[in-house]
Amino acid sequence: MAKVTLNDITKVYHSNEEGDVLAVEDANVDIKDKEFVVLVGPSGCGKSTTLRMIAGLEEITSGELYIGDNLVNDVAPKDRDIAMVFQNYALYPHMNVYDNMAFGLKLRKFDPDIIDERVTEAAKILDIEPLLDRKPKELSGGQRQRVAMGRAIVREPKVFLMDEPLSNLDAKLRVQMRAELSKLHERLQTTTIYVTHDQVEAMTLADRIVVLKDGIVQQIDDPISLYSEPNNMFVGGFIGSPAMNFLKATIKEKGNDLVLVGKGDFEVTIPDDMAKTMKDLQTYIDKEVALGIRPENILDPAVHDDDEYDADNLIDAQVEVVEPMGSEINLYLDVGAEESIVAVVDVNSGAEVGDEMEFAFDMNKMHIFDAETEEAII
Amino acid sequence: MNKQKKLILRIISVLSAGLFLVPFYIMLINSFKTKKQLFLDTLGFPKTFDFNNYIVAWERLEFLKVFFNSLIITVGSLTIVIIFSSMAAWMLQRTKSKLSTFIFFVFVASMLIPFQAVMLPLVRIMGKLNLLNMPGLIFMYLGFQSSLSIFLYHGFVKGIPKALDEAAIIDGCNSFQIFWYIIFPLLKPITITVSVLNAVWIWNDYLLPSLVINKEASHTIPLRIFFFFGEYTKQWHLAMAGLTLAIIPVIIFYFFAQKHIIKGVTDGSVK
Ligand SMILES: Nc1ncnc2c1ncn2[C@@H]1O[C@H](COP(=O)(O)OP(=O)(O)OP(=O)(O)O)[C@@H](O)[C@H]1O
Ligand SMILES: [Mg+2]
Repeated sequence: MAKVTLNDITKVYHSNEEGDVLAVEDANVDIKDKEFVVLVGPSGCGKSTTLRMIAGLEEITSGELYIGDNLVNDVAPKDRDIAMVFQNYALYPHMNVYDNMAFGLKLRKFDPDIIDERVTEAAKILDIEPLLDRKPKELSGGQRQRVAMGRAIVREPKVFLMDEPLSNLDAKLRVQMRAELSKLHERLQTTTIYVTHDQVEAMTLADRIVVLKDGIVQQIDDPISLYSEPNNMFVGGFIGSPAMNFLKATIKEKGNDLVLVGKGDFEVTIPDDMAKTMKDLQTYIDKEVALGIRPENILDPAVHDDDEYDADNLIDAQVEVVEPMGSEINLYLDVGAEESIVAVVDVNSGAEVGDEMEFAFDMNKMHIFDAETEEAII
Repeated sequence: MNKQKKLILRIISVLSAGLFLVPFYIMLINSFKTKKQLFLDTLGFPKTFDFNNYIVAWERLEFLKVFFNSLIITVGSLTIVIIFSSMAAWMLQRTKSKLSTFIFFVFVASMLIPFQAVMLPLVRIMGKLNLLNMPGLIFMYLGFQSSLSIFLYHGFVKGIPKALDEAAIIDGCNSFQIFWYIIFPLLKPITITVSVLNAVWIWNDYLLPSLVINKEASHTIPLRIFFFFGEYTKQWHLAMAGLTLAIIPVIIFYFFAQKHIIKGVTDGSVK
């Protein structure tokens, strides 16, 4: 087991057709021993590239990569002591499950008894003992996934690398395998680097999440901090579902308070303590900013006690769409801004399409971003 | 309607199968006739089944010896053609560079050059290099057969996900191990197709061996069969017996390998 350190890792692809592609730029990530780190970001942001550089399948253009205390930039993949699970599993079609799992150990000239012991043990953990004689094509997607995991486990590597290992499974199986992955990590305690574009997977699995966009690391944090303190609009919008709402607004002074004024009749007051502690806010007076508010922080006064919301910060909105989700409903609201915003309210709210209603923003949980740099101010 | 269609199809298949069998029929029945009988009644049944032709042909051909010569040349060429072209196709497909595209293109383009255009200079050069007879012949077959083989393999390798190579790298394989443990076993269907195509061609080839083999001891079956066709006399009855002898091993081989061959050809066509 080992820590993994990325120092200023950069990757440039030299491809014939498109010229040079800068896939990853100056990535700095410190992954601790036993940590489960998830790389997340939209398609093409460089997640796989980063993982493949750690695996040794892609050359590192510049920067230093350490596994444990060893600089491994020029170390062959097989000597890095890592195991990888691929998106489409990449099981060897002509070998049965047992041989698929044993292959890496056989190449490393392990004693047959030890190989047998490890494969049997892994098969037991993954619940695939009855399948050992089957060929991959005789397995279901979920079973193949387990075999791919098994192939990684038997090697007992320092680091597990996984590239969207669950994305080929149907939704239900994915949730189930996600839980099993968590359990597995709990049990084996192997440092794991996991790639996904699904933020729910990232939130549920990770000790820490690395958010990437266009090859640049946006933020590295534990799931809760990432959710409550996003560094910028991209992270705010990417983490959480439904996504954070953004409204253009201008900061104005009103008496002793600072207020956010937007299109329509929109006006909310920034809480006193926030305005005071954030001295920077003063420099934004009369400037345009982006107000970020999560759907779950837009409250329907009808279903909350008076002390749960701020009666001074009510805004008018018209309900455009109602999406019942079971215990909650998603409301799409027109507040006079360019785009409608989403609120998640209790099912008892009773809102219906076309209703003119008042909503309260939970101002202690809102975010303010610089409109130009998109960096967080609060 | 459907039944009628089936019937018509069946009749057509039987007829065309019959058509293909006619030469075999002529060969077989005439191999039992004397020379005189053969010329008097070429298509008729022999009056008696006389194996004398076979005995004479067997001795004149030195059948066992030339059979093994043909076998060594065919199996030898086939082995190296398969080894070299499958490895080359894999590398050419997996390497994404202008050079690899160019090399592949050269291989494919060489399929279009007619053999007759290169045969004389080739034989002269190879003669100067002392590369004639069996080793030279096998080497030349590698050159002639690998372009089509590489082309076929190349198309098939495309269908094997690169992630398998990568999984093998991470499992600890070097390039040779990736190829022999993972890729080559997966190429089996196309290897069978390539083998059949090449084996038929090499086994039957007359022209190249006639130019390259200058020692009687190294003669192949097609070269020897030609002995029966002298300048003044053509000994058809012996030739027919010789040809029948030559076909028997092929039929036995096909009989045992037919399951694989048919599977290989159909699998190859799907990919
Ligand atoms: N072999 C390559 N040659 C050239 N460019 C490449 C190559 N592989 C990836 N890229 C480019 O590098 C960038 C990052 O790709 P990468 O595969 O790492 O994205 P990703 O985050 O894994 O996306 P996805 O979620 O779709 O898998 C993309 O712009 C992609 O087009
Ligand atoms: Mg990817």
